[in-house]
Amino acid sequence: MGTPETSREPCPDRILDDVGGAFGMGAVGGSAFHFIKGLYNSPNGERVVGGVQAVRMNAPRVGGSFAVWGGLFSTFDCSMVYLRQKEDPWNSILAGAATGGFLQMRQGPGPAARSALFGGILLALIEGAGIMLNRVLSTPQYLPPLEDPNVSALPPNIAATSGFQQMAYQHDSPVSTSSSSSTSSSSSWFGGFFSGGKKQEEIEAKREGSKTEVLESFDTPSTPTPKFEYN
Amino acid sequence: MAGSYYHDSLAAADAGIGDDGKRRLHQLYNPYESLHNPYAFPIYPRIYDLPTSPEFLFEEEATLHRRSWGHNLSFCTGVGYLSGSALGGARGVLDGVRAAEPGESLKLRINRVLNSSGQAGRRLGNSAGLLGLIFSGLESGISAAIQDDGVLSTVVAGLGTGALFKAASGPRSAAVAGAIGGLAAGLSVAGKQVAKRYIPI
Repeated sequence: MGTPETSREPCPDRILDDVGGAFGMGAVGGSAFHFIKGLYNSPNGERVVGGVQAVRMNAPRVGGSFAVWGGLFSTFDCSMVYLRQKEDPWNSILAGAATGGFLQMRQGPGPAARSALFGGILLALIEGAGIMLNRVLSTPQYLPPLEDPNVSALPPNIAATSGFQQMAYQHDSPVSTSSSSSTSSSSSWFGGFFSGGKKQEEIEAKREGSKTEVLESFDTPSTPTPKFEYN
Repeated sequence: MAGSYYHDSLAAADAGIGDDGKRRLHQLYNPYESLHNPYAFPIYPRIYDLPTSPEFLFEEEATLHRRSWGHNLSFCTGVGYLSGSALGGARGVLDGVRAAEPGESLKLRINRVLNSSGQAGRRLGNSAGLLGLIFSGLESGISAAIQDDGVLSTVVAGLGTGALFKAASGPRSAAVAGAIGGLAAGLSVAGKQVAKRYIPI
C-alpha cells in the first residue's frame, strides 16, 4: 500500500537529472527538426543521407545548448531554494532571470540585463501557467458532511501536471503525503518538465507560497475533541 | 503442608486450573519458551545483523533491479555531459593558458582562456552527452526486450553505442568502436562492484 516516492530527486542530484533530461530533449527534438530540415534542403535521391548528415552536425549542438540552459537553471533554482529555505515559484523565476543574465554576461551589462529580464518573464509565464493548470486540474470535491469530515476533507489527489503521467506504478492510489491544498509546489513544475516528465510526477507537499487556497479541512468540523471541563 | 500446595499448584497450572480453583483464562507465561521456539530465537540475528543493502519500504521499489528508463536516460546523459564538459573545459583552459603571448593584457588572456575552454568543453561535452543518451536508450530497450536484469544488457548496449557512434566512419571502425564500448561498459560494472566492496565510503 502507499505509493513509492517517485517525484523529483532532492536538490543536488536534481541538477544531474535536469542536465540529462534537457540534453535528451534537445537532442531528440533537434534531431527531428534538423532531420526534416535536412530532408527538405537536400537534392532528390540524397534526401535521407542529407537529413542524417544535418542531424549529425546539429543535434549535439542543440542538445548541448539545452543542457547548458537546463543545468544552469537547475543550479540557480537549487541555490535559491537553499538560500531562501522555501519552495516557491519565485525560486524558478529568479533562477530563470539569473540563467538568462549569466549566459549573456560576456556581452556586457546591457545585453545581460535584457536577457535576464526575458528569462524571468518567460519563467513567470510558465510558472503562472503551471499554477493555473494545477488549480484547474485538482478541483476539490465536496462530499456531504455526514461522512467522516477528516477523511473527506482532503480533495482527491490527482498527480497534477497532466502531461507527464508515467504509469510505472498503479496510479489509483492517491498520494497521501501531499497536502490538501490544491496549489501544489509549482516550483517543480517547470524544472520537472526536464526530468520529471520521465518519472511520475507527484504534487510536492507543503507549499508555503504566496498564494494559498482555503483548506477545506479547516472549514468542515473536525471530530469532537474532549472538553476538559470539570464541574 | 506447603509443599503439597506447591505441587498442587504446579499440577493445577498444567491442568489449567488457577489459584482460586476456577479455570484459568490466560496461559501462564514461560520466560524460557524462546529458547526452544525456532521462530522466536532468530530474533537476535535479525536485530543485530545490520543489512548492507538499502531496505525498501515499498514493494514496488524493492522488486525493481534497474532504474526506470527515464531515470536512466537523465542520469547517464547528465553524467556524460557534465564529465565531458568538465574534462574538455579543463583541457581548454590548459590550452588557453599555454597559448598566451608575452605582453598581452589580462583581458585578452582571460578572453582566450574562456574561448578555448568553452569550445573544447562544448565539443567534448556534446559528444559525451550523446554517448550517454544512446547508451541509456539502448540499455533500457535491450533490458526490457530480453527481460534481463544483469550485466548482459549493459555490455550489449555498450557494443551498440560504440558501433552507432562510429557508424559513419565505416564498418571496421564501427566494429572496433563497438568492441571498445562493450569493454568499457563491462569494466564500469565490474569497477563499480569493486569500488563498492573495497572503498570505504
